Amino acid sequence: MIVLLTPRALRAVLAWGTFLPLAWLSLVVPAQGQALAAASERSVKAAFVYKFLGYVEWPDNAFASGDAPIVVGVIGADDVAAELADIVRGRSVNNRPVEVRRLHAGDPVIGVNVLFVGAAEHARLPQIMRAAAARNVLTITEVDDGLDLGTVINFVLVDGRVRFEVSLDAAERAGVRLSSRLLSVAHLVRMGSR
Amino acid sequence: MLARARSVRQKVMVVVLATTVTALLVTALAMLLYETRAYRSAVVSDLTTQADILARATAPALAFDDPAAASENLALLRARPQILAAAITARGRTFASYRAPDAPADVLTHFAADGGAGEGYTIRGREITVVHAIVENNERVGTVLILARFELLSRLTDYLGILAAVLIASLTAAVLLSAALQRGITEPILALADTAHRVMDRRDFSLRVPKTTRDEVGYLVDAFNSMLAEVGRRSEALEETNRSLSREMEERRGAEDALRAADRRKDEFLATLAHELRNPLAPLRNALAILKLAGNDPDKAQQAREMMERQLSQMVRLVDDLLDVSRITTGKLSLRKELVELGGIVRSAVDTARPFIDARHHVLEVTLPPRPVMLAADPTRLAQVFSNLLNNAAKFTPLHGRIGLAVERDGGDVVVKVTDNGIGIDVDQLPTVFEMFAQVDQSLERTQAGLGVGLTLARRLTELHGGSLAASSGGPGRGSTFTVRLPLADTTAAAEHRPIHDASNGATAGHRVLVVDDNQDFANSLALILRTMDNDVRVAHDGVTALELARQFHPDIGFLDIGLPRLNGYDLARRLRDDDGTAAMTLVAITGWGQEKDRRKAFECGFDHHLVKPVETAHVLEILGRIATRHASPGDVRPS
Repeated sequence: MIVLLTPRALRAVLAWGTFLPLAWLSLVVPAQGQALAAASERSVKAAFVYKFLGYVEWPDNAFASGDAPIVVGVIGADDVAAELADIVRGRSVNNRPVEVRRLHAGDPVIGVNVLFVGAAEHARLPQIMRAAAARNVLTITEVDDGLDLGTVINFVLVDGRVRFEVSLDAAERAGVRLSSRLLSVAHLVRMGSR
Repeated sequence: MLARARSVRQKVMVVVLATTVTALLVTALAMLLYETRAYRSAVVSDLTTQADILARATAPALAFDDPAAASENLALLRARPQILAAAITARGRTFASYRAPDAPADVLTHFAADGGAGEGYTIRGREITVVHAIVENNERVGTVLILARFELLSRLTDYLGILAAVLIASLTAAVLLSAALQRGITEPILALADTAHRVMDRRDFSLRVPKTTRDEVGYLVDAFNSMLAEVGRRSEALEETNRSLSREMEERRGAEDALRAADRRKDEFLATLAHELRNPLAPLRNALAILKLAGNDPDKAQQAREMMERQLSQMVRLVDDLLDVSRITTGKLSLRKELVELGGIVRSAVDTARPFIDARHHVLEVTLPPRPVMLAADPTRLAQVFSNLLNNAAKFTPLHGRIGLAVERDGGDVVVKVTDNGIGIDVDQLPTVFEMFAQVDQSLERTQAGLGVGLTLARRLTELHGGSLAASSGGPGRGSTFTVRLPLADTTAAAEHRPIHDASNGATAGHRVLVVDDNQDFANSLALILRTMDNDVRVAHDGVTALELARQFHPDIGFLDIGLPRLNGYDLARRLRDDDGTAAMTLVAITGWGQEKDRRKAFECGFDHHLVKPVETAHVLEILGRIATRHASPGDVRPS
């Protein structure tokens, strides 16, 4: 018997997953969350951003050529940008190299495939989101109302651990497709019109 | 097993069962081997697929450090009860794990040894461990470990159980099927064997095996049946041969007995013959002595001569009878049949028997029918029959008896009965009285002598005439009756035949006679008789002398012996016929050879008459009389 993890099944899993007895989980998962240092939190997010790239599909016209790099723009989070730059060095995703670009608020969002906006730019987030709209950009934020502001992926802290939530509507609007496998590990998946 | 089986049926069954069992066992072994391999590869393939799916599903959880999601994925393995436990490890740590509800609590420690091991599967006892790498974006991010039951043994046990059941069912089916099918093969063989048994037990070769098949057994049945038929035929033939052999033996024994009896009779006959021949010799010697002693006493000489004549004629009759018997026995007696009147023959027979009848002082009564009775017969022989019967009656009737001879017609036959009031015949003896040399009284004290051939001769002669002779008697002391039955002649042909006797009416004197015989006594005695009758007689004792004598003497008639020195009788006759001077003379052959061929040869050589020794004077005189008639009319040409 083969277990097929279809999106529907996944949703079912997600719906009651939280009620599963997790007693034995403590046995295998070390208590790494409580004393999560700030630096660690930044590097986890950087790693997550890199890992997101493997679960995202862009339309063909999003790239200039077949081997054009995936460009990740970072606004208001230099530490993450630095960490990310370290991670992507010498690595590729789907045969494309990854390029990290530091941007400033107000910079035109052009030639960028992923845009990470740090919490520092919370105030100007709506403006940034508008600039990025309809440009096939996977937007990632780390604020509590991120999804409300129209980002596709938003980092949250759950029990001191870095988790993320996903808005399928936002992804649809942005013109990117997210793998169901990514959704399966999302803390929350928002669907339907806002 | 095959060698121990007693019957073909058992052997066939053993063959079928052995074949079936072997085939089933080989099949079962092959299926077990295949099942072992197939089960392992199926389990491995299943678990590997499962691990792969888990790996792919769990990769994001690993990537985003979400053990809860991973655990949820693993928890789905509950649907697979054979999976005892599963775990996902990454960077040397266990990221998530799963334990089946019925699995032992310490099952997860089994992974300790496998943690971080290379990909693949390991089978240990009744468990299998599959290790599968989790690769994401070309990087190995972790490992999936699955521990499952590997129940090959129980599966094989189940399988063996099924195979055993199939084996038993197959064997049962095979036994039933072969029992039903082998009938076609074994039953004809069993029928064959059964019949063979019965044939051997009963020695009955008429049994046959029913043929029911057309195969080799059918051929065998045919061969066996034809073999039985052949054996039966042969044993039957053998039995038939045995039967005919024993029959032949019996016949031979009977013939031997008959021969012995005949031999005994012949011995007795020889003794009788010697006695009978000797009997007349004593009176003859006495008569000769009387003649010597009597000298000139004519009365006594006359008496002696009469005595000698009687004894001599008795001896002649004896020898004649003997010769006749021998002729009849060798089939050489032939009749000279002519048309004759029975009355004459009876009278002739009575004349012959009269002296003996008178001597015994019997009264003879002859009754003849008023009209003459014509027969085609040899008068001499027929007269012999009646005289024999009369002699027999006279002999076996005490002195002064009564003898009757009666002739009467009976339809197409004539019946002559000779009766007497003599000693009669015992009923037991009736069938044997006609046997040769048979004499009713075998004792030494018997009163009547004789050779015992008279009745035999009479019966044979009667039969040669186409008639029969039967004897009857009222018993001892009551006389006997002998009945002769003869067929009457066709009287329409009577006119053509004239009795030979009518010719003898001429003179017996005055002839020129030549007598030729090397037996001087016979020649001289015959010459003496003829001279006594006033004939001119010359005698020769050999052929050449006779021929010369005839040429000088010119005889009217010649009495020639056949067996002559220098020139035999036949040649002498031819020479005489060739010579003109003697060609016309009458030639009479006188010989001891009385057979028909001798007679024919004599006539061929030119003889006119043929007389057999001993010659009766009456015959000689009769022939003389006939040539006298011819001489009475000179110039009469002798017919050619």
